[in-house]
Amino acid sequence: MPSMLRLQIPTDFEALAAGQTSVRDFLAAAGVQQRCIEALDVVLEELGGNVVRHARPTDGTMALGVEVRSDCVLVTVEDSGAAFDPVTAPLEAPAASLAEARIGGLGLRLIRRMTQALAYERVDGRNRVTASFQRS
Amino acid sequence: MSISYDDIGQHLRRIVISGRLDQPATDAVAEQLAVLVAEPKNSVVVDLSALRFLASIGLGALMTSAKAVQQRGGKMVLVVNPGSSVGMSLEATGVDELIPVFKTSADAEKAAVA
Repeated sequence: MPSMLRLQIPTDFEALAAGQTSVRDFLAAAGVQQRCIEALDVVLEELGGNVVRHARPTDGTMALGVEVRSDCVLVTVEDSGAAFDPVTAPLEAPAASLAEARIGGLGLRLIRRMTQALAYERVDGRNRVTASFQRS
Repeated sequence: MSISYDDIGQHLRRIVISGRLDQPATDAVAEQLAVLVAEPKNSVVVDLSALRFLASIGLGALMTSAKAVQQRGGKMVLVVNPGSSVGMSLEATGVDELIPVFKTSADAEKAAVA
């Protein structure tokens, strides 16, 4: 039986943090395993953080959606800001050493490594990213 | 979210970061962390065993600190609980291959002063 949560929040980090708390509480109450919740929490930080930092939607809001299924959890992040596709954005090669490493660019790597699947669409001027997380 | 430290002998500083290192928290501690690692101790251990959340913003702060310590000829290492979500973030980004990670404070301190 699917279980869903949808939140519309202002695009600022405090609201995102409060939204993440609501999502974690919702998932725990739905019986989702802690490891899945933790991975989802990190990806939500990255996707939501990208909207706050870069997308800057003119209506000042973003929508977070969570759907719990028997074998996975789906998360969607939607906004009406600048287009950004985390699926196809180029990933930098990992640095060979600390001295050579650039600060930054790790968010995309986290998003891709921690999700089972990732999809992006832009429809009617809105970005919609859907990430799925395996329940195990 | 909290950051504290203690100095062990002349050369070793142990910094403990606990709570959640999300964007607001990282903004709050970044300056403190920079000051703590700027102190000319050659060995810095950053204990993340009480940290519950680490994403790219926190990873960036750790990288900045590790680079600063290395640039002045020192060494920074991390303590991380095996199998934790913090460990997961370090491993997923490859940061665990740039900054040495240990399961215990004892192992970390030994490696930091070596």
